Amino acid sequence: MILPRFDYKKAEDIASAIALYEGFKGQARYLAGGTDLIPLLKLRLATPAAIIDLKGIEQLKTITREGGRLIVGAGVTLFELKNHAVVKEYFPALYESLDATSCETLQMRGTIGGNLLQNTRCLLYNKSLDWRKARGFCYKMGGESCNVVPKAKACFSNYCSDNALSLLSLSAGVKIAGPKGERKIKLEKIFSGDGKNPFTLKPGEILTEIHIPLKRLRGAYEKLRVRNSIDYPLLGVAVSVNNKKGKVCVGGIGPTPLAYDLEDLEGASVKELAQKARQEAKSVSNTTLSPAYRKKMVDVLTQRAIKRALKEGK
Amino acid sequence: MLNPDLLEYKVPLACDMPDIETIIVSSIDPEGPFGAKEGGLTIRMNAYSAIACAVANATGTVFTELPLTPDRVLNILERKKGAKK
Ligand SMILES: Cc1cc2nc3c(=O)[nH]c(=O)nc-3n(C[C@H](O)[C@H](O)[C@H](O)COP(=O)(O)OP(=O)(O)OC[C@H]3O[C@@H](n4cnc5c(N)ncnc54)[C@H](O)[C@@H]3O)c2cc1C
Repeated sequence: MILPRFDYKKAEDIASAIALYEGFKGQARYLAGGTDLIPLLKLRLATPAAIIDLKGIEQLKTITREGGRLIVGAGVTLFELKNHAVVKEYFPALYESLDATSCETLQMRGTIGGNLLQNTRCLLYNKSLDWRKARGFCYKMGGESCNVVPKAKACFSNYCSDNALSLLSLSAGVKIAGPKGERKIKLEKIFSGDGKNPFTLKPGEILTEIHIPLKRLRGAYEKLRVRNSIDYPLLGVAVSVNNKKGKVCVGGIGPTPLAYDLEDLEGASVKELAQKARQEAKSVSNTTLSPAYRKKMVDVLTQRAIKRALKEGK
Repeated sequence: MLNPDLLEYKVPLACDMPDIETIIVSSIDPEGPFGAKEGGLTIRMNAYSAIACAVANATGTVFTELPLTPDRVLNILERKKGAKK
């Protein structure tokens, strides 16, 4: 498929990227690895007047330890992060989710910032313009209602970042820079809950850093997919635990990941949490495998991930 | 068509392939040029039939839909469990 026309600008630092954005009056998109954005352009799901490339900003490419946190630049590639000594040693859930993200070729190109901000997906959304025109536009494309759930004035598209789940289980925060200055928020605050517009970032804002508390935790990531590589998660469960309690995060179903606190590590609490997660998962037939199966697997994978997290590193 | 691309049309990848053991069966196909036998469709057709038969054998249930995705297999197993009760 051929790309549409757009202006291309490469920014040297964050301030100039924001200035460029403002110059295009909101008609611009930021580009990192492009593995999510370029396909969206080809499908005409995004038609910006300009693309502002963030790849030249050195500040976004560093990983540092500071104030009891690991500070990861949004432009760090998934591959580099996966192979960072601290990640392997301190955050097993993150290591596993990075390793399960698509394939290594993509990990070398895709960045962690782009991974967190990837658009939500649906079998009836990620399609060519001709295909979508023939079918009629869905709610997320600006149509009347959803094409998967007839008449629904809502979007059930799936947020498919593997790494958001593990980062949430690690209580990560993010730093955002924008036309109105900088702000720091918890990672869960970037999600709007709305599949049509999944993020709370304001126009022109750049995700600059991801902050992960430097605590050595046990953890695991379980991913449901039909092939062992390349596939997006049909469901993902990340778990990070210390000696007393933990955090579980379920995603790949619906536009926002769901996080749960595991109050103690007893079998009964684990089962109860897994059942609750299953009940709250709203799967619809907008991807591979039946919605009923994906919902059922929430319970199974949650228990499996917790069990594995508790067993490993004991 | 719901699957106009290779991301959602789930062709197995190299890492999904089972180990393959090759057994050479020497024979002469009178229909083939110089006695050669075709090696494409027969194998594909028989491989999935054989696997479906093996799963049917293992579970005691007959499948009516291919491919045998995890959700279909689980569905049939559960239906069988329900039928027993
Ligand atoms: C075949 C295929 C399979 C995939 N499989 C998986 C998978 O299994 N798991 C998974 O999690 N993901 C998967 N992805 C999704 C995703 O493309 C990658 O995970 C990748 O990390 C995205 O990063 P990127 O740098 O390429 O993002 P880009 O495409 O450059 O950007 C993505 C979005 O984020 C915005 N953005 C990027 N950086 C910033 C920033 N610093 N500040 C503000 N906005 C920003 C862009 O404007 C764009 O909207 C897959 C993609 C493909 C093509």
